Amino acid sequence: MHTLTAIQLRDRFLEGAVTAEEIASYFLERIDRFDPEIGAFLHVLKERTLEKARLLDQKKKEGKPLGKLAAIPIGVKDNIHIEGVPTSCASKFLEGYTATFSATVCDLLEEEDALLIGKLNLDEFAMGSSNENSAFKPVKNPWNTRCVPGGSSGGSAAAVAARLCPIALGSDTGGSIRQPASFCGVVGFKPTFGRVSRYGLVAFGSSLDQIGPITTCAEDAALVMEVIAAHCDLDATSLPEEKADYLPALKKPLKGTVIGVPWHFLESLSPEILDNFKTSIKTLEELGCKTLEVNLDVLKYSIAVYYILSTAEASTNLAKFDGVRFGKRSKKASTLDEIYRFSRSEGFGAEVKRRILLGTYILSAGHKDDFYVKAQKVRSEIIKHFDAAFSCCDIICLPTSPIPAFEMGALQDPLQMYLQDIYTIPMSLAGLPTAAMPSGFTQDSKPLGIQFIAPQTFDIEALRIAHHYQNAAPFSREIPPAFNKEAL
Amino acid sequence: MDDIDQKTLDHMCRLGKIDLSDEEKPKMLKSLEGILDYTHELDALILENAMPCRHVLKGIALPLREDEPKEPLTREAFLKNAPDQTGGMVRIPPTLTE
Repeated sequence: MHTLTAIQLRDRFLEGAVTAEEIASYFLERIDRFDPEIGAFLHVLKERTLEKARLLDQKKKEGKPLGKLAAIPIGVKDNIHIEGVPTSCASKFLEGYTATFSATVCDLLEEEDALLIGKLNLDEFAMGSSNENSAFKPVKNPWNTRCVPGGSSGGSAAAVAARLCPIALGSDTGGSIRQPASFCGVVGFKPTFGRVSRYGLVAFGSSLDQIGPITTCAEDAALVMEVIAAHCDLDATSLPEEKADYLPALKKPLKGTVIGVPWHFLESLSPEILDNFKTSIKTLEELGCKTLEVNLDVLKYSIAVYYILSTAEASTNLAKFDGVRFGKRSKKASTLDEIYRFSRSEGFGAEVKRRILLGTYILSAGHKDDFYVKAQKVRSEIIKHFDAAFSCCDIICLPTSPIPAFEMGALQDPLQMYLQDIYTIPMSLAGLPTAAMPSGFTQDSKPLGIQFIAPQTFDIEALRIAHHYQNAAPFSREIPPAFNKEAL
Repeated sequence: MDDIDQKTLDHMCRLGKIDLSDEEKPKMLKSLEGILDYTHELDALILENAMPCRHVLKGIALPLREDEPKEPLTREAFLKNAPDQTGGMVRIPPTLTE
């Protein structure tokens, strides 16, 4: 069952070949057997999942209509709330916190009969690119357990790669769905900003955050989008459109699609990564696409812009973690000010503290114009350059990462870590829908990835090209050998 | 560029309500110096006519919801996560002292 896509699994259930309880038990056993090797899960919702599976089997027996995601086990990044279930954001600050409401996306998934099987590990408060910043345990890459899975949705990507669940939700602020998907050889999709509700996602950068699916194929990502991509009254930045059909649109042929490639921007890529990217572009040309060069040199300023704006937004968003109403309250504190300072100092890890302090500086008196306003202006320029590129092409392609998954502990300097996000950050700044697909492997068997970027609100187009690419270059079907076996 | 020194970092810690240990301070200062230095790449750009990006979605009017009251979080649900509570309220040390 672990080799099946989510759609194939659902169809087996609908046909009566397997019950929901059998599916749930199968994947819970896989998690039990294999997750100790990779550390993807922070909480496994065993009883809750089995109970919902039994109810679903009863619903089927009674002939009631079943949802689009019937019996599909889905992991949820642990910065997205499920009512009554812990949400830790992989932080000591929220150790022991129980969500008092469900995120809109989780309600939507459960309305379509998905089985939310567990909460997945991440970099603390979604701040990181390697999942080494989790306060509880790092996550290991199923392709090479000496290596990182990427971040911040490292648990989500690793769980899907190891086939512990066919679908996971991640969140993406500067690449946190796409980069770990690439490092783990699976599919990751970041929607247009506002396409998916952020209600119930613990906020990091409110002008950047988006929830999206991590899957083993583009069709499964499209199916999840059919369920979660809808207007939400509880998210003031939610696009007005209601649900749309993504799956039928995938089949429309690619012939004549114009692909823009910013070759000049890619000049510093290593030969191995550049060769892999060129091979992917050739594959698209063989599928009937035309390619042309676009100028996106301005994107080299993206990292500076992102680490000014995202840290400014994060410093504001994390002000709510003050030890008063919920979360950690330091036992050493005897005044209100000490509650704030001691609780935050004891509860937050180094990277979270760094970003809060950086954001505080950027927004402080005398610095806002030099940093924040300047970065907002450059953000406008980045959006303008993308618009200009899209005036002569339908889709833009970029590699997902300049490097494959690196060994744990290899990148100690925070700035060096930040510089690896160069190919994912720009689309977060511009709010563009982007599908990250596996595109091959390095000589030492580490996954590589390519991104398909569409204009704002053209989410279906990004997934369509991803689907056709995947059919010609089916790297997402590869399973890490250590996990391509039964649990029992 | 010298954007940040120890005195400025101490001030940011006061504003951000974060205490750093003596061991954490030099490492944090060094990393912040490096990152802020990097952001000065943006100084090379001519931005006189650029407008700050106020909202990433262009030309899309986002609807407001109807002004109808909905069920709030109950007191009981809210207090489940409170670190210290009494009489249906969150308890904190006195804010006014002699």
